Amino acid sequence: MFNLAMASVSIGQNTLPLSAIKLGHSGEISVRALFRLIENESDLTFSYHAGDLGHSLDQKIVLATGSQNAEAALQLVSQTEGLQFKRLNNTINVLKAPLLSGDASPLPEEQTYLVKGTVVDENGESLPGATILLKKSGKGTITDIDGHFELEVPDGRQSLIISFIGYITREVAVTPTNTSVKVTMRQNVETFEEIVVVGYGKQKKESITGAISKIETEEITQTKTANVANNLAGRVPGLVINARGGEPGQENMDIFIRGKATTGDASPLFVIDGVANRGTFERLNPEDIESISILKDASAAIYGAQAANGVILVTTKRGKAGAPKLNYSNTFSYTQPAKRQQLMNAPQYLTWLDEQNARNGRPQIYQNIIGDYREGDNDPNIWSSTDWWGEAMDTWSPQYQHNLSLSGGSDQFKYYVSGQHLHQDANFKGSEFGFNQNNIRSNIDASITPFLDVGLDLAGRFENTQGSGGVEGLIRGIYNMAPFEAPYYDNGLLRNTSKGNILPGINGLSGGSETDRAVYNTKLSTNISLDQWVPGLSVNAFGAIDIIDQSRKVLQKPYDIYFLNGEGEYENLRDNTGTINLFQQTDNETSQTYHARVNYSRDFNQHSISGFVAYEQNQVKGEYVSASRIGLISEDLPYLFTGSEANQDNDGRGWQSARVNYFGRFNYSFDDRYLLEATLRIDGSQNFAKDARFGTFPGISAGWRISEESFWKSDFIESLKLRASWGRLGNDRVNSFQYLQVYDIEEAAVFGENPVLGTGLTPATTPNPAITWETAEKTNIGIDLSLFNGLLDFNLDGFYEQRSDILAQRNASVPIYTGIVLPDENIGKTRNMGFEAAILHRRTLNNGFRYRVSGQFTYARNKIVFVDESPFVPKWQKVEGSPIDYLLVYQADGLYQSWEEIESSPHFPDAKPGDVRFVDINNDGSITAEDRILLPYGPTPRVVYGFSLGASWKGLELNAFFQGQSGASTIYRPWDVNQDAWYFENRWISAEATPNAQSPAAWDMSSSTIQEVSTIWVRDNHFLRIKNVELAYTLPERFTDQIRISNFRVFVSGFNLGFLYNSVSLYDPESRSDTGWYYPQQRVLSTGLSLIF
Amino acid sequence: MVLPTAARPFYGLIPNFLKRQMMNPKYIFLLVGVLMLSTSCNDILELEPLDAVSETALWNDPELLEIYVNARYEELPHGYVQWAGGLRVTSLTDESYDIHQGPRLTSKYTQGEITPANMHLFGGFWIEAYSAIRNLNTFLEKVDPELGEPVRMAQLIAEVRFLRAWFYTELFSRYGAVPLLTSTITVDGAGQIQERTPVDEIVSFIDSELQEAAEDLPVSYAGNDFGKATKGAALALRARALLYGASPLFGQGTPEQWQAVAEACEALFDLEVYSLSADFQSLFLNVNDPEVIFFKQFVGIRGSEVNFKLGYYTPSGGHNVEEWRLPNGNAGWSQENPLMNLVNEFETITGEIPVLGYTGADDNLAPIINPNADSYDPSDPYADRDPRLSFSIVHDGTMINNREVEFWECGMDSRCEDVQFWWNGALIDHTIRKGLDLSWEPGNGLSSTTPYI
Repeated sequence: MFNLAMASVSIGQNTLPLSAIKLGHSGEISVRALFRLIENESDLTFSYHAGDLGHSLDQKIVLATGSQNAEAALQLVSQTEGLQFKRLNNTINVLKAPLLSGDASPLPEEQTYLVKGTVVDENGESLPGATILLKKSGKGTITDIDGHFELEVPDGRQSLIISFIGYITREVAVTPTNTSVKVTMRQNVETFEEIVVVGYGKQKKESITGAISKIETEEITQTKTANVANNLAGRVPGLVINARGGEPGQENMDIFIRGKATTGDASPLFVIDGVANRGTFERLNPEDIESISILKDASAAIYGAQAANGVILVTTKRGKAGAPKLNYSNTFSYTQPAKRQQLMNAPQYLTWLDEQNARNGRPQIYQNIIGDYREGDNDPNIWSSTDWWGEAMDTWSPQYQHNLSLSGGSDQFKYYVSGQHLHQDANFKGSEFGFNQNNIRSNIDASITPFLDVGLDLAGRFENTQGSGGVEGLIRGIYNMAPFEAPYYDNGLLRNTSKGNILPGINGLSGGSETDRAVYNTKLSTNISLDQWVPGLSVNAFGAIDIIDQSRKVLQKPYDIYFLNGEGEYENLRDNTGTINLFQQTDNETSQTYHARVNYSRDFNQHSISGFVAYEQNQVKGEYVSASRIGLISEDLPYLFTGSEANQDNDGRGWQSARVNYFGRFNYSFDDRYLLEATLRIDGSQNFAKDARFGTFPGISAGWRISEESFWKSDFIESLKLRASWGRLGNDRVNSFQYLQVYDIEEAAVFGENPVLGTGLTPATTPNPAITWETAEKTNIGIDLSLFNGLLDFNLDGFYEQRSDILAQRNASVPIYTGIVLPDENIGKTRNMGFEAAILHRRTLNNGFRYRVSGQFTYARNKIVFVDESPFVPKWQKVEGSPIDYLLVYQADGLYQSWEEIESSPHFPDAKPGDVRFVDINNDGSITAEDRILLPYGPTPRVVYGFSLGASWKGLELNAFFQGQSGASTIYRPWDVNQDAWYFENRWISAEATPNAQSPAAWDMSSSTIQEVSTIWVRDNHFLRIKNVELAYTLPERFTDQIRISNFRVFVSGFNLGFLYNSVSLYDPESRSDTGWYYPQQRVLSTGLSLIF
Repeated sequence: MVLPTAARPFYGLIPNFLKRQMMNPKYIFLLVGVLMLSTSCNDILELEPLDAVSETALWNDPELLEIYVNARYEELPHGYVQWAGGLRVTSLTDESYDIHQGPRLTSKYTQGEITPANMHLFGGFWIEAYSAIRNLNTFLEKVDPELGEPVRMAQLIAEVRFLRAWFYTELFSRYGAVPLLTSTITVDGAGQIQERTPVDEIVSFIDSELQEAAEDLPVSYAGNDFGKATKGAALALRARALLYGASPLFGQGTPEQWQAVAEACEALFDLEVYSLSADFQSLFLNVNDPEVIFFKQFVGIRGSEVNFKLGYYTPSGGHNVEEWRLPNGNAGWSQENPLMNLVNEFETITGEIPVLGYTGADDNLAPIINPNADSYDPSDPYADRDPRLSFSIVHDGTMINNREVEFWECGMDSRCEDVQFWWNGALIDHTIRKGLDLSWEPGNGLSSTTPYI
C-alpha cells in the first residue's frame, strides 16, 4: 500500500516531487540505507520510531538499474514492507501501516452499506493516505490522492476511527442514513519531528547527544521589542540575559550561556547562518530568524578556540518550493521607562541641603524658604518646584516596525526576501534622538543540477542612531538639577540654572551625535553531491564577506540661554555655550570567511555512520579615521570645511586578525539506540606566538535512547534518552599581539623655542611570548524525557566546567624595581557548575482548545579557583572561592545614633551621627581598606528562570511570559545631590525621631558614608517580572478566504508590564549601574497585525 | 575561494583521479586532506599590529629612535599634577593644608596606611622611576650606535644616559640605597631579588655617566630641540648628585667628596652660560632666564581630557596649576593653603625671623614676637618682609589681575556661601603664588603653559 501524501500543511509547505530526487544507486539496499540515501540527496529527513517498524528497516529491496528516483523506491518499500509515508515540511514520517483486512474482502453474509467520506486538514486541503478503521472489526481503508475514501460497513450505527500520523486521531459516527462524512483533522504539533541546527549541520532532536536548546521563530517574535535578546530573556534554559539598559539601539545586553564562567571575556560566540563573528543577533530582524540553537556543552567544541563560552547559532529563513507567499506585519508601540524615578521635590531637596549644612556646622540658610513652600508663599519665579525627570523624559515614546517578506519558488529555485523598517524614539522630551533600522535580506537557493546546489545570501542592515553622544551624562544631569529651579522663565526663555540646565542636552539644542552604520553580510555557498561516485559523499563550501561601515558625527552647538540679572533684564548667555564644533569618525571593517567541508554519511545495516572534515579560515581587517574642527560658521553646514583650521585634529588607526581552523566530526549510531559523536578541532589564531599558535579541542558525547530498546515497555514514558558529553574548548578573545613587543605612539614631551607637543614611542606592555587561549573542560549529563504521548516533555542537564589558563596579571609577585608591568599570563582558574531544567506541557483538546505551559530554570554557580593574589591580602578578602563578579565592600552595621557610639567604636575621622557605621572586621581599632568583605553574589544572577503560558481557541490566542532571577547583588550608590525621594523619606534625622532609619542622614558627597561602598548600598536583585503578555486574534478562514488572504492576525501585547516580585524597588532590578545614570529599561505596549497572502 | 598557486595543479588531477578511484572513499579523503593542507594558508596568521610600531621598525630607524627618546622626557615627573604628587606632598607636612582632600587623604599618611597601592598619592616615585629606567635601559641595550649619523646618535645615547642618571639621583636622594639596574630584567628573571646598591656606588655611577654624557651633549639647543638635555644640565645634575652623596644623611661626607662637589660646580661655572636671575618673580615663568638650567615646558591643551598614566591623573601634555592654586575669587580652587608656620619662616626686611613660636592654650594661641624684629607689625604681618614672601604666597592684599585678594570673611576669596565658588574658598587665608602665572584667566578652555623649572 503506498500513499505518499503531499498535503500542504498550515505553516506553508511545498510539494516537491519525490520523483525529482534521483538516487545514484542500484542493486540491493536496506530500507534504512535507502532512507539515508534520500536524506543525503535532499533536505528531507525520515522520522520513525525504530521499534514501531520492526524488522522492516533491515529488509533489503532491490533498486532497478537506471534512473531510480525516491518516489519509485519508496513505493517499492511501501509495497513490500507495508510502510506508510507522510511528508510534513521536510520530514517524512514513517509508520507501519495497520494490518488492513483490505477493501478487497467484503463481508457478503452481512447487510452492509457504503460510507463515502473526505478527510481534510485544518486548512481544508485533502489528506491523502489517512487511515480509516472500522472500530468494531478493524477493517479499514486509506484515503486516495484527493482525500476521499469509501468503506463498506455493517448495518447500523458504526464508529470510524480516522488517523494520520502527525494529526490527532478522530472518531466519527456513521449510520445508514448518514453515509457521507467530512472529517477535518487537526495537526498534532507535538509529534513533529524536530530538526535542530547544530554546529556545521542539522540533526534530529532525538539523535542529539549534547546540551543544545532551540528556540523558533514563533516564540522569538511573540515579544515585540527592537532587540532580539530582549525577546529571548528567560525563554531558553541556560541562556542568561539581562537588559542593563534601554537606550534605542544601545540596550547594553548581558548575554551569557550558563552564567559567567571566566574572569575574561565571557560572551558567547555568535554564528549566523554558519558564519562566525558576524556580531550578535540583537539587531537582526526577528521575523527573519527561523531558529536559534544554543550549544552549551561539548557540542560547541566543533567551534574550538572560540567556543568556551558557548555558541549561539542563528539560522535565517529560506524559501520553500511553492506559490509565492507574501507576509506583511507591523507593530506600533509606545515605550516608557519601566521604572520612573521619583526624585526629591524642592522642599525635600532644600531640607536635605540644610541638614547637610547643620551636620557640617554651617548655618541652615533655607529654613525660611522651606517655610514659604509649606505656606505656598514661595515666589515661583525664584523658588519653583520642578520635577526634572518629568521635564526631561517623555511619558510615552513611539516605536514602530514594518516587516515584509516574500518567499516561494520551485524545486530548482527558491527564494526568501525580506525587509524591515524599525523606528524607536528616545524617551528624551523634545528631542529628535532615536534609532532607525532597515534590514534587507535575500536568501536564494538554486539547484543547478541534481548534484549541484548553490545558495546566495545577501543581507544588509542600515542603522541610524540620533543620540546625545553621552546618555549617561544626560541622565546624570537630570539627577544633578536642583528641583527648586525652574527650567524656563515665566516668559518661556530657557533659564541658566545654577548647575547648568540639562534640557539643551536632552532636547538636542546643544547638539548631538548621529551614527550611521551599514552592516553587509554576504555568503555564497555550494553543495556538491558526489554520491554517484561514492555513495554518501558530498562537499560543501562557502565564502562569506562581511563589511561594516560606520560613520559618526558629533556636533556641538551654541544655544540661547538666559539669565535674569539684577536690573530685571534677560541676558542671553549664548556666547558662553561655546562654538559650533564638529567631530567626525568613520570606521570600516571587512571580514572574510572561507569554508570547505567534505561530508560522508552512510548506513550499513543497523550501523549509521556520518561525519565530515572541514577547513575554515577567517581574516578581518579594519581601520578608522577621525577628524575634528571647531568654530564652524553655520550649523546648517555640519561639515569640516566650514570649521576653523586652528585647533583642527585628526587621527586614524588600523587593526587586523586572522584564524585558521581544521576540524571534523564523526557520528555513529547503532539502530538509532546508541548514539556517539566525536569532534576534533585544531585552531590557529594570530593572537598567539608562532609556536603556540595551534591548539587542539576535542569533544565527545554519547546518547542512549532507552525507550527504543525492545525491553522497554512503558505506557506513559514515550521516549527517554540519556546523554553525556565531555569536551575541551578554548576562548581566544584576548587582546591581539600580546606576544609581541610593540611600541605605542603617544603625544609626549614638549620641546622647542615655540613649544610644540611632540610625538613619542613607548613600549607597550611587556610581551608574553607564551600566551595562549583560555581552556575550558566541560562535562554535561542530561536526560530527555517525553511522557504521556508527548503531552509532557522534560529535560534536565547537569554541568561542570573548569576553566584554566585565563589571562590575568600576576599580582605584586615581581619587584617594582624591575620596571616590568607584568603581561597577562595564562594563570587564572575558575569553575562553573549547575543544572538547568525545562518542562513543557502542551495539549490540544478535541474542541480545538490548545494550551501550552512551559518553564525553564537555570542554576549556575561560578567561582574563582585561582588568581594571583598579593600575599598581603587579608584572608577574608581572598577572592579565591568568590563568584567571578564579586563585590568587595565594607560591612555596614546600621547607622550611628550618637556621638558616644562613634567614639566608642572604630570609625572614619569624619563620622557623625546618622552616618554609616562600618564594621571593624579585623578588629584593629580602625576602619581601613582591610575591613572590606567579599559578598557572596555579584551582578550576574546565579538563578534565572522563566515560564510561559499560552492558550488558543478558535483563532483567539493568549500568551504570557514571566521572567525571574535570583542570586545576584548590585551596588546602588546614589551619587549626586538629588536622588530618589526614598532616600529622603527614609533618612536618619535623629536617634529619637528615626531610630530605625534605613538610609543615612543627609550626606556630603565627600563623606565616607557615600565614598566608601558599604553593604548599606548593596541590594539583592531578586525579581519575577511579567515580561510579556500577548493577546491575538486570527480571523477565521471563511472571512480571509473572501478577501484572498490566507492569514490575518491582529494582536495587542505588553513587554515589561510589571513585577510579581521585585527586591530592588528603587531601580529596575536588571540595572547594574552603580549610580543610576543609565538609560532605563523600557516598558513597551504594542499593537499590530500580520497578513499572509 | 582563495587558493594559493601551489594548490592549483591538483584541480586538473581531480577528474582523472576520481575516475580511477571513484568508488573508494579512502582516496577521496586522502585527496581532500591534501587539498586542505595545501589550501591552508597558515601564513595568513603572520600579522603585525596596525596601531603600534613594531620592534624591527623602531630599532632600525634613527628617526623613530629620536621619537622614542623624546617620550622618555615625558616620564620626568613634574610638580604640577592635579591630584597627587608634588602638589600634595606639602599638605602632609605642617607647611600647608589641602582643602580638597582634607583629612581623608592625610589620615592615610598620619595613620600609616600608605601601601604600595596608594603610594603615588603621596608623591611616591618608585614605580614611575623604575618604569622609566627600564625604558631607558631598553634603549641602551637595543640601540645600534652606528645606525645613523654619528654625532646625532652619540647625542641621543647621551640624552638617555643623562635621563637615567636623573632618575637615580632622585631615587637615592629620596630612598638612599636602591637597586642600581643598568640592564633590563626579563620576565623570567624578575623573581630574583636585586640587592640594594650602596649610595656611594650609585653616586659614582651617576658621576661617571654624566661626565661621559656631558661630552656628547650640546651646550644649547635651538629651534625644535630647545628644552632637551644640555651639557650644562648634565654637569649641574652631576654636581647635585655629588652634593647629595656627600650629605651626612648618606655617610660621612669626606673632604674628598666635598672636593668633588666643588670641582663639579666649577665645571658647570666654567661653561659660562648660567648666572643668577635678577627677578625672583619671573624666574619660574621664563625658561630663557640665565638661572634656568633644565625645565619642562607645556602647551595649552583644549579640553579636560586626563590620562591615567603611572598611577596619577595628569592632563595629557599639560596642567592647570594656576586654576588649582589660585583663590576662588579668580575662579581658582585654592587647593593648598600655606600655614602661618610657613609665613613665619620668612624673615623681615631687616633679616630677623618675626615669630619665634606660640604660647597659650590650643584654642587661644598667641605668637611670640621676636623682640629684634623691629619692623614686624602683627596687625599687618605681610608688610616689610623678605619680598620672596609676597612672591611665594597669596595673602590678603595681594594683587592678582588688578584685583586685591580678599580672604577676610565674606570677601571675594573666602569660604562664605554668598561668594561665588564659595566651596573653593581657602580655609586658611593663604594660597600659593610661587611659580604661578598671575595673568591666568579662567574659561579659555586651554591648559596652562607655565613651565616646571
